[in-house]
Amino acid sequence: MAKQVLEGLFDSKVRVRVLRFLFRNFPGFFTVVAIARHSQSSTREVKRELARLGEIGLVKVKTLKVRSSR
Amino acid sequence: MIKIKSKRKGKTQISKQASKKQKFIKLRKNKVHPKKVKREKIRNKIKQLKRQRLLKKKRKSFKRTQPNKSRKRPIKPKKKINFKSVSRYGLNPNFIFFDELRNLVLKSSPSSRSKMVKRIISLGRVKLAVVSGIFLNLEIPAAADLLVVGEDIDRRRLRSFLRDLESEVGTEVAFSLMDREEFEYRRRMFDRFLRVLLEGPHEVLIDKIGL
Repeated sequence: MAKQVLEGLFDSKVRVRVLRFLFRNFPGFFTVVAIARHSQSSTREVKRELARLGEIGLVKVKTLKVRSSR
Repeated sequence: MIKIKSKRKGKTQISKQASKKQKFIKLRKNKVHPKKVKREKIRNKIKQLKRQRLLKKKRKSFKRTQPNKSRKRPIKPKKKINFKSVSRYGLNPNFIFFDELRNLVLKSSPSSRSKMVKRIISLGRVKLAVVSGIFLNLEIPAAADLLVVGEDIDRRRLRSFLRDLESEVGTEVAFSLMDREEFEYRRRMFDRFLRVLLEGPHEVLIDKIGL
């Protein structure tokens, strides 16, 4: 069976999934947990990939201060 | 010599100033309102009276007990408003290769198609599988992205398959499942859902009915 082309190209399954998710819902911004849930990978991996993509400038971060109930 | 003189002069000046100050302070001390009594005098009087045992000293004065009382009161915890910083991630549209990357990433490769076919076949006795919408990179959402017609379909496998598919694709997949009887009935009735799906852009993955 042929290997997945994109996964081979980007050398990371998680990165392809994260990218695909972000491109599908393009103007949206998501938390790490949400991205990890939708791409079925661990938050740690997703965090690492997001950091790498952020270094190139493909991914932007929005930080909001939310009032927590505790 | 000159220096010493100047020093002496300075000293004398300082002493003069000091004496002025002292005088001023003395004046102020002596300036007591005639009706008011000096504190020292009161203290002396009290001492005299104590000696004569007319007065008693009580340790618990009002001023002393007050701070103790306040300490005994339970300290109310201040209501703290906790702020939690949440960071959200999204794409930067000003990225150099943004459009190129999007085309690359969203293109569904033929290898993923063949994988999909294999997994759909493994679900049960599948007669027909039609793909549309997301899988063809259509901008307009289709009536269904994936239509499967067949019998004896393993629900648990189907669920896991859909979960994998959604993670692979990146969004929710509009999925519909029906048995052959229902499909034939709907087709004969010119059902709107099927007509829209089969007349619009679509791709047939498995066909054992003969569309």
